[in-house]
Amino acid sequence: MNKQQEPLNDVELAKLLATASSPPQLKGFEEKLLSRMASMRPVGKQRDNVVPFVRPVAINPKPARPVSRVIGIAAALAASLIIGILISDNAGVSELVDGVTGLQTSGQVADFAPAGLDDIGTVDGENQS
Amino acid sequence: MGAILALRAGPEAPVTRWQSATDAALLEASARHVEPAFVVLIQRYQRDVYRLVWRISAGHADSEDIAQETFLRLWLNPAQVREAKALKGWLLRVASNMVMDRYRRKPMLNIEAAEDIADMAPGPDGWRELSQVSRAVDTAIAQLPDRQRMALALVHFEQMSNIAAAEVMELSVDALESLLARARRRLKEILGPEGKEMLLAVEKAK
Repeated sequence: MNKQQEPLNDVELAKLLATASSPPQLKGFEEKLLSRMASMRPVGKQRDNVVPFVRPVAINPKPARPVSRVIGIAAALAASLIIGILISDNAGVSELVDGVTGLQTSGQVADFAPAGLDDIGTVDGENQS
Repeated sequence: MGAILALRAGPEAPVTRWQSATDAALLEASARHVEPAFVVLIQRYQRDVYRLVWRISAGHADSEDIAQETFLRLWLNPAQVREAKALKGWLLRVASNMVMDRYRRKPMLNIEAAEDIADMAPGPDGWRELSQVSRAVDTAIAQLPDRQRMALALVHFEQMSNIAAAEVMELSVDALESLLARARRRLKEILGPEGKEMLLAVEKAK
C-alpha cells in the first residue's frame, strides 16, 4: 500500500490540526461589553425563585356575629328547655298531641275502658249456670 | 477606554489595583458590583471564551456577541459561580451552551462548512500553500457534529485535560474520550487521502 494512501494516525492528525486557523483579534471587546453592562442593573445576590405566598383576601368577608343574634339563639334555647319541662307532664303531652293532630285522641284514650275484665266475669257466670 | 474605566472605577478603585487579585477576590468584588474588578475578570478570560465560541461556531460572525453575553450573565449574577477555581470552566460551559442554543434555533450559516475538501484541493502541484491546508482543516473541523467539535476544541485547542473538558461538557471522562475518538476518526475520514499530502506540505513549509 502506498504510504500516502494510508490513513492519518493521531500524531499526523494533530500536526494538521495545528495548522487550523486562529480566531481574529478581538477589537473593542471591553468597551462594547461595558456599554452593554451600563444598560443593565446587576442583582446583588441570587434571585429568589420562590414566589411569595400572598394570603387570599375574601371579596365579601363574613361579618362577625352580632350580639343580638347570639342573644336570640340563647333565648330560643332557653325557651325550648322551659317548654320541654312543661310538656313533660302527661296531660300536657296529650293536649299538645290533640292540638297538633286536630283529633280528640287523648279523650278517647282516657275513656277507653279495659273491657277484658268484664268479659272474663261474664264467662265465669255463664259457666256456673 | 482609559477614560471610561477611570469614570467607572472611581478614584479609589482603579482597574490596576485589581490586576493581581485572585479570581476569588475578583468574583467577590464583582458580586458587590465593583466594576473595575469585573473588568479584570473580562481581561483575564475574554480570549479563552471568545476562542472557544469561535471554534465551536466555526468562526461565526456572532462569536463576539456570544462571548459578551457570557460575561453579561456573570455580571448580572456572579453568585452563580460557587467556587472561584471553577470560574473558567463555568464561563466555557455557559459560552458553549449559548452557541448550541443559538444555532439550534437558527442553524449556522457557515460558508466554509458547505465546501468539500476535494473541491479545495489544489492543482497538480499539490498543497503548496499552508493557508490552503489551514482552510481545508478548518472545513473538516466545521463538518464535525457539535459535541465532537466541542470536545476537540476543549482538549486540542484549549489544551484542557480530559477531566477538565469533561467537567465543562458535564460528561463522564469516558464519554468525553469516546467523543474525542469519534471526532478524530471522522476528521481522518473527511480529510481522506488528501490528509497525507497536506501533511507533506506542512512539513515542507517548516
